[in-house]
Parts: sequence; C-alpha cells; structure tokens
Amino acid sequence: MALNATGSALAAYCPDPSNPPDAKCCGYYTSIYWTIFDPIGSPPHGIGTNVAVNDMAQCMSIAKPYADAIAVSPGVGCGLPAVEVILDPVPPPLGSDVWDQTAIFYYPTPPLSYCTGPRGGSGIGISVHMWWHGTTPCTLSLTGPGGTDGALADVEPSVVESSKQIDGLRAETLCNGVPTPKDITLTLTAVDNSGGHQHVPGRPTGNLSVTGGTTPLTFAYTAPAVSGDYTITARCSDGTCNEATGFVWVGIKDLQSLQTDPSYVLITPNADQNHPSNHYVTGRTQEKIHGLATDYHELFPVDPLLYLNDASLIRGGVFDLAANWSSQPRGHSTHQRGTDIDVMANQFYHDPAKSIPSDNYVDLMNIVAPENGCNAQIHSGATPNEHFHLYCR
Amino acid sequence: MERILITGLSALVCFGFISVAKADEIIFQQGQERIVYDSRTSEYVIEYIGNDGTLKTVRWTPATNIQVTVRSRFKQSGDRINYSYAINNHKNSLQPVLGFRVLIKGGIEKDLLAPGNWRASVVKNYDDPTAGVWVSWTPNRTEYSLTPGASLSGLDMVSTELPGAGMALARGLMSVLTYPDEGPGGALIEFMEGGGFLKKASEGVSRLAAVPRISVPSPYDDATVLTNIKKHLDTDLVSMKLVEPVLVSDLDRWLAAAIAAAKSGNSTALTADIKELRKLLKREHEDVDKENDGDGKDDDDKNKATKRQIDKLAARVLDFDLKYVERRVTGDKD
Repeated sequence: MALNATGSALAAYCPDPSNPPDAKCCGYYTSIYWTIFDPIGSPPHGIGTNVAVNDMAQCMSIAKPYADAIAVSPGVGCGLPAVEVILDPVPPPLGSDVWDQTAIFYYPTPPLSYCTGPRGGSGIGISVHMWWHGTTPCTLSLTGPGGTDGALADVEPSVVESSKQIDGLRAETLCNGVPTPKDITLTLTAVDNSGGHQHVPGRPTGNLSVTGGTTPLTFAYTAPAVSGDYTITARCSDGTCNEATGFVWVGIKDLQSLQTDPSYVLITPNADQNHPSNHYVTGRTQEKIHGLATDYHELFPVDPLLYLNDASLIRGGVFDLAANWSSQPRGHSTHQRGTDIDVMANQFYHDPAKSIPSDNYVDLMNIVAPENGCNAQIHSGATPNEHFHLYCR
Repeated sequence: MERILITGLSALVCFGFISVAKADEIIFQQGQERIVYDSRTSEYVIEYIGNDGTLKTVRWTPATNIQVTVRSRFKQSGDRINYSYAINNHKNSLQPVLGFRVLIKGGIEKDLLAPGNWRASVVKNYDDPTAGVWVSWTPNRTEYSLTPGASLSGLDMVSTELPGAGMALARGLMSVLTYPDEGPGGALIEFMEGGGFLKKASEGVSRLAAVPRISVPSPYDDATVLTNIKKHLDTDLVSMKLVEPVLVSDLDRWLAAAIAAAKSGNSTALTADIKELRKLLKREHEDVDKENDGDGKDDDDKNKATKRQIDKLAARVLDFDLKYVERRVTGDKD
C-alpha cells in the first residue's frame, strides 16, 4: 500500500519503466541494500540484504514487504514509518541524467522527516538504500560550434534563395567513458515567443539532417525563415542514455533597437501585438537613419519629423504581419535584416502632423536618402497605407 | 545614357560604358518577375508578383541618365593644394544633376566650398570605410539642380595632400520609385537590395577626378613624398588601368633612382631624375605641365596618332606632384 503511493511518486521519474526511453531511469541500479535501523542508535542494525535488481520497480517490490510490515504496526518505533530511497552516490543532475535529486519516497505519506534519517527521532524507520553499483549509465551529450547564450550554434534565418545551414552539430554517447554507437533519435521544437514573435501556432522549426558518423553522430540544422530559439532533443532508442537537449540560436546578429533621437519619432506602441518590438536595425542602419532624419529635418525644418514604423524584429527574420510565419500576403519581405524601415508619409492619408508631405518626396528620394547611403521607395502608393520605405544597408 | 548591366543572377554590376540602344534588355528575370531596361525611355521596368498575386508593373528612372563632364583643377597655395571641380551636364542629358562627390582616401579636407544654393559635406563611405570618405556637393533642394546644358563650378576644397587620380560620382534626378503595394519580394527584391541593383542605379555615373591622395609628411621629406607618388602609381593608377605597364616600368625605374638620391641627399641627381620623369610624361601629353588645365581630355595634342600610355589626368597629377618635389628641392616657390 505504501509503495503504491511511493510508486506514483516514482512514476514522476519513471512513468513507464517498460518503455525503453523511460527504462533508463531504473535500469542501472544493480543491487539493493536495505536495513531497518534505530534512528536513535547507530549504526543501522544491518538487517537486510543485497539483492540484484534490474529496475526500480523490482527494487520497490522487494522493499514493499518491509514497508508493509512497519505500516501494519503503527506505533512501533516512531509509529510513522517511512520508506526512504536514497541513491548513493547521488546521480548526475537532471539534464545529464534522469534524477534531479536524491529520491526519497516516504511511507505512508510525505513528509515524514521524523523517521527519514538515522538520527531523526525515537522510532524505527525503514530505509531502502539504492546503491549505485555495477555498470555506469551511458551518457548522451549534444555539442556544436557554440553560440549565443549557451546555444549549440548560431545561424541566420533562411531567406529566399538562400537556406542557412549550420554543420558541426554532434550527438555522442559514452558508456563507461568509452564512445559507444547508439541509435539516437533527434527531435526539434521551437521555443514559444522567441525571436520577437508573440504568437505560437504553426511555427516552423527548420530541419535536421544527419551528415554522418555514429560515434559521434554528426548532423546539420537548416534554419527556418523565422528567427528564434529551436530546441534539439536527443534520445537513445534503447533507453540506456539520458536525454540530452540543446538549442540553436537563429537570428541576425547585433541588431539594436533604434534609440530615441530628436530628429525622428518612433511610433510606439506597435499596433501589431504579435510583434511588439519592431524597431530593430543594424548599427550601420541606425547611423544612417540618424543622418537621414537629421538632414531631412534640416532641409524641411517646419515639416513634421520622420515618424518611424516597422523596421525588423529583435533578431530579424520573417516579419509576418499576418502572424502566419510568412511575408505573404501582406509584405514586409525586406524587413528581415535590420536594414529597412517604414516611415509614415502622405498628409492626405495620415495625420499631417506625423507624415512626410508628398511635396517632399522628390527631395527625400534624391538628396536626403542617397547622401546618407539609403534608397527610398514608396510602398502602397495612392492607398491609405502609403508610406516611405527606406533601405539603408 | 549609362545603365546597369547585370549578368544572370550574380548581381555583377558594371559601369562606365555608354549603352548601345537595345530595346528591352533584361537585367533580371526569374519566372514572371523581371527587370527590363527600356532603352527608348532610359527607364527600368520592374515587373513583379504583387501581394494580391497578380503581376504588377512599375517604371523607374534611375540616377544614371546623365552625360556629365568633370573638370578637375588643382593649384598649390603655400603648403596647401586648392582643388576645384566643375561639372557640365550635357545638353543631351535626360536629367538634371543633383549630386556630385569625390572619394578622398587619406586627406583631411578643409575649407569645403559650394556654389550658391548648393552645399558641401563630408559623407561617410559606408561601403568601405578604409577607402576614405566622400566629399559631396548637393543642391539644397532639387529645384537648384544642374539642368541639362548647364555647367556648375565652385565645388572647391583645400587639402594638404597632393593630387592623385581618383573616382567621382555624379547623380541624376531619379523618379520616385513607387509600388502600388508592399513591392516585390523573393529573389527579385534580393537582387534589387542585397544584390546592389538599387544602390548602383541610384549612385549615378562614375568619372575620373583629381583628388587629394599623396600625403606630405611634416616635417617635409622628399623621399617620403616620392615613395607615396610611386605607391600611387603602382597601386591606384595600375588598378584603374590608367597607365600601360611599359610606362609604369620606366616611371618606376626613375622614381626608384629619385628616391635613392633623395635619401642620400644628392639634390643634383634628384632634380635630374625628376626631370627625366617629367620628360616621360610630357612625351605622352605635351601640355601635361599646364596648370589649371581642364579635365584631362586630349584636346591639347589631338593630332598625336599613337595611343597614349597614360591617361591625361593621371599624367597631370603625377607631373604636378613631381614638380612640387622639384620646387621643394630647388627652393623655387613659384
């Protein structure tokens, strides 16, 4: 009975020991030592035995009668018997192995620290000590060239006609410290809300492709057009390894949010709630926009400053106005590298106090923009969405 | 008119030749999307799949529809050199000129001057900061641009550096590139923006100009100046294909001798070597030593049948620089 309870706790670690990916949780504890001890006295009485087991379930089934024996005799000893499972030595932390802490399963209900230690009280407790004997578990690790914030690698988002791929990713298994071939399963997931996208469904993840080898397995990652973090998870098919994870950083490097500047106005907050941060540009583009806005204001001092709208997202990549992970059908296909920005224009369609007057178009196009290394175009001309589009690479 | 020729999809952009009129030359094409140069109107026709899935057509006049002549003048004034440029917009140009700039590689330019309703400024060279900066002249408004058939002088600056041959760009009045929607995407916009099409078509046409290029050390040193002249010859002039290799070889030999003489303090040998160098240049262009000459066109010795081994502007700047050293050696302040 007690072990049913502890079994459910155990299930959190080993949801299905018969399932190979989960069997690894228990499969390497090759012997058991249990003892009943007097929590006052020491050392433990040494009543117990060493039993070879194949998995945690078997281990617990052996322990159960002893736990039951205490359970049916409340008041004996501390009267609050416990089954304590101690992994000794402490296994590696979660992420490199299955256990995130020394596992202690109490009987009948936690917490009963009163009897969980050899000197915790006046009663009698049961401890099932899981000794770490025999075979060392295989360790599975993911490595790569290295990247931002601990990423396995950095790669730019794929753009039209140019897929961006990063090679040199590796999954390696070591058993007893020796590289050992294993069948490894790789999966890929996107980290929600990464890359400046506050929307989730349908997000592309890019692709993984094995490029060779088994020890280590080498593979490549092809980025999607959408910037963000993409998690790679590796598992051994036979369940004899830990689960290894890492992520790839997809984006354009070193974009920075446009600074406030007396020569222009940033339109905030962005009406597009899926992309709240929309003013990211390269350092060079920032410099050019400052120069352009300054020159424009000098040339047209009584006209409104430039009102700047969408540039790029925090890491560039697809700026999907339709929240569909694509530049189509609404455009913004050039807002992916931190080089392009929209400026409110045409006093007849927009607030005249915030727009480039149409009379200034020719001068902006021919003097102000070229002198600052930019190209200027009109997008959505003669429509209510008319605006200047600046390309300042 | 000059136009951009781009081969295939490789974004190879070439300048510097006058196009032979060919109707509807395709500059870029992928599927239905393309850019066509319409030689009848000297416009680019951009055809792209719009946001609504239908084919859109936009016409755009680039900044290259001009025929300009650039005249460079340079004159010593004490330890400084006055540079002055004049531009002529040929009467057959299709556009006004509203931008002129020269690339200054190493000099600290001073005293920028501009004619009325124009202004001069130093513009960062974003493409290659190591190549120097642009000194740029533009009208204050497009209404003050240089119309076809008109000339403009007074584009002046002062520098401590001696002249060399460099690049100038003149820009014509573009039309406002207007798309009815969010414009092209995909490979077409990659070609236009990333591939450099827009940049090249917007920056205008290139011309040769005399620009501050040869640094003069302080305190003054003949050998260093001559070494800088030799470097300009061997790198810039050669790479710009302004001088034939056989003449480079001759000039190098005398320059090396002059540098050796300068280092050894043998002013007699130094002046003799410089005279030989100037003789080589004069042999190619008879009036090479005339100061305040024009832009280097061979109107001085147009009857000379043989092919020149050095561009005239290149010869003029070299001769000027050598004469500068000669004067310093002989003490001639004239």
